[in-house]
Amino acid sequence: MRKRYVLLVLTILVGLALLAVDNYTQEINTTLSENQAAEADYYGEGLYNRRFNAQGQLEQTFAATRSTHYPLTNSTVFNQPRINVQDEDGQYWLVSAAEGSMNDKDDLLRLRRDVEIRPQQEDAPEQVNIQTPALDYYTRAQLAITDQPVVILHPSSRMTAIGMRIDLKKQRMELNAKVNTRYVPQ
Amino acid sequence: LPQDAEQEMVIFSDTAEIDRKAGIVIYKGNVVLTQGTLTIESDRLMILRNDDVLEKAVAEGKPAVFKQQLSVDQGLTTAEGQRIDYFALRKEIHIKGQGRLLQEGNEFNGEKITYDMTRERILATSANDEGIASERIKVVIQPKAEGTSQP
Repeated sequence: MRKRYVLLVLTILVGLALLAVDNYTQEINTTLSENQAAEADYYGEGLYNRRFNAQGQLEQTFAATRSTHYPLTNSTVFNQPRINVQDEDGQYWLVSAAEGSMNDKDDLLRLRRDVEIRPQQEDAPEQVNIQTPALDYYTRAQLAITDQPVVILHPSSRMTAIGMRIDLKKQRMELNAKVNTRYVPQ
Repeated sequence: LPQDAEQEMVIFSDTAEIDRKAGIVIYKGNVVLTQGTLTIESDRLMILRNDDVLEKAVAEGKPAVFKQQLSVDQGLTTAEGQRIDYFALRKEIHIKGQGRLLQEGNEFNGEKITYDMTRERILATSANDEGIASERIKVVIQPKAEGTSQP
């Protein structure tokens, strides 16, 4: 009777041990597969993309020093993204940042850190320079929106505000709050 | 003062709309413009600049208020109205809607007041843009103190 009892306890112990081992290996697998899914599935160097309008004119170019695609979130992260966009008068504007990200099916490019909008040509008639820490840029509508602090520098004026919406095509801008403008006579 | 135009112009407001191509900026909400002795306070202010020079400012409010010291030997000139058009280059202001102009104790009231600062000429009418007269114009001229020569 005692032998059978000891045997039973031993089998239960072994069973528990096996269960523990099985649990442990599953955990590793799931962390591994999570890690694997969170990993990038492709990297791109020197990305350069052009978009033409219905009349076949170059409307916008998009470049980045590096792009990294993540299958888990279906999104791509860009290093040093730079967008050249044309306004209604044919002038080109450069939108740049330290980093950007975009979902695969989206036309929303989230730009982060050192975001800047300025004329592409250095000798453009009006040297406006718009700076903000973060900007959501809708590439199809050519609209840029932020709720962050904005600084607008111009040779004869300096504007600061909180929040902005800018239509790059029409060159119209709305500043949402706390607008402070300083015009300095030349 | 004549040198106001050479001073830095500062504008505070709640929001702003900029039409870069038209060179127009519209400030809205608690708008305060200051430039030297010039001050404009309004709910809405449209600024038109040409080659970095203020050409015209249109202030609307309940009322919009314009203040400026026009010369060293004068006090502040104050204008109030629902709308004030300030033509900076021509040194002229047009006040519309319960217009009121105060200068050196003199007061002018009318539906429309035009003030040419260079020639110090004031034109006040009781009819608004549609030609409808409301209150008659009212002018209050302070008597000169004894012994001061008439202008």
